[in-house]
Amino acid sequence: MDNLDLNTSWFSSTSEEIGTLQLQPEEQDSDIAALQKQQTIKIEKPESEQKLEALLSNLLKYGVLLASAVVLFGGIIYLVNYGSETITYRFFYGEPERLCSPVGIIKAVLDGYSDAVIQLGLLILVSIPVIRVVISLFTFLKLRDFTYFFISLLVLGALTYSLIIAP
Amino acid sequence: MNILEFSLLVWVGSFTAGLIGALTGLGGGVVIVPLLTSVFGVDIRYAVGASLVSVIATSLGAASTYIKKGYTNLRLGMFLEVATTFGAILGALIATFVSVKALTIVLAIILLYSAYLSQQPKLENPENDLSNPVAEYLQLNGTYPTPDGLMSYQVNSVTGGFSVMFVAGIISGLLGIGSGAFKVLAMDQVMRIPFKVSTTTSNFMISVTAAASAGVYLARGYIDPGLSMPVMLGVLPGAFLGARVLVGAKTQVLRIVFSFVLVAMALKMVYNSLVGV
Repeated sequence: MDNLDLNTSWFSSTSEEIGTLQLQPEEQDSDIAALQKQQTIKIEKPESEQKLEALLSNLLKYGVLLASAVVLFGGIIYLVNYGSETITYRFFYGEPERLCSPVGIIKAVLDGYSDAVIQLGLLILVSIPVIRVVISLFTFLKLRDFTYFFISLLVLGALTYSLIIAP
Repeated sequence: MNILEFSLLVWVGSFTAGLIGALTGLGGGVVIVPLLTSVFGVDIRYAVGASLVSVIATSLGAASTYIKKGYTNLRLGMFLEVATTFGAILGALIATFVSVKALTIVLAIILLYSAYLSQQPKLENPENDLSNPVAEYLQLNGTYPTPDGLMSYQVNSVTGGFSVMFVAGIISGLLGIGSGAFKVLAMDQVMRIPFKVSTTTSNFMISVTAAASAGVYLARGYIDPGLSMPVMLGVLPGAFLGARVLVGAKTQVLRIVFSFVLVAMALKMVYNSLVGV
């Protein structure tokens, strides 16, 4: 009976470990934790948690690769065009308007500015953590975990404010 | 010096910073700003913008691996991100009306503090028997892999950790660094979480925290493509290589050397800002 219950709520690729599973982590009290200091009990994470982990892990990996590729591509064109000019970073002038907002950057890329291509790569980079929060938001909604849905919503609100409203 | 030569030198410097940052666990961001300002003579606002971008890149790359291995506590990270993102926006807003001199002094203090923290012993598995009701409600207690299988742990003083995270967020937004040292401090010392979980969860949070201040930086013209490009493309492979080498490497000597470098950079920054170079 116990095994049946565990099989429905827990995911395990190695089924022989299921028999040793006694408690869900949420229900652990201090006694169990103390016990585990001496001997670790084999525990598996819930399937939903594992799915979320795999999804986020891939998003981060491929996202950062895509962003780097765009930055590198833009960087090569930029260096070919402007490589022989002198540097101006000693004093702060700020960036031209076209490089200061998501909409401006996309427009400048279409107009053929190579520095805007680099900036587009950086924009992709910045958007990956935002996408991560959006994915978490929907995952928690699907799991009916409203506490974490609300927490993700707060973080998303802060990011939206910073990236869209504040500029 | 023309843009091509400058870009190549910055790339080499950033690669080294990423490598050493990963080997010592302090992150490349903490070195990038002083490297660009005191070695390359870049204005601190451009340096902060470029550093922030590189911090997002390394955080994303490393977090991908740590999540897959099961070290990262996703719920804990997401909960504490509320504190760090709001802190980061506040920090980025403060940065736009604080003088360059004040920014430099704050950064120097953070550098010294990071150097100090890197010398502190790490708690592999802190004594922690108390169950925290808030942690319980938020399902923050978790498990992490050890050589003997999954090990469970409890999270202490959630409100205390949340407050330190808010400060970490402000510093991150103010200086464009990951302020991973402060995040680990909040989780190691205040919340009593195993070191491996706190470092990886801190790393997971850094990208979101940095993204929150990136919007403000972008709007203010701090993010320069020509400077950010070699920094990002240098730090990322450097950090990746560092993480590979780290397995089995003796980092004690490296940590001490790196701390001296941080202290030297901090003193030079203070000297420069006081003399007015």
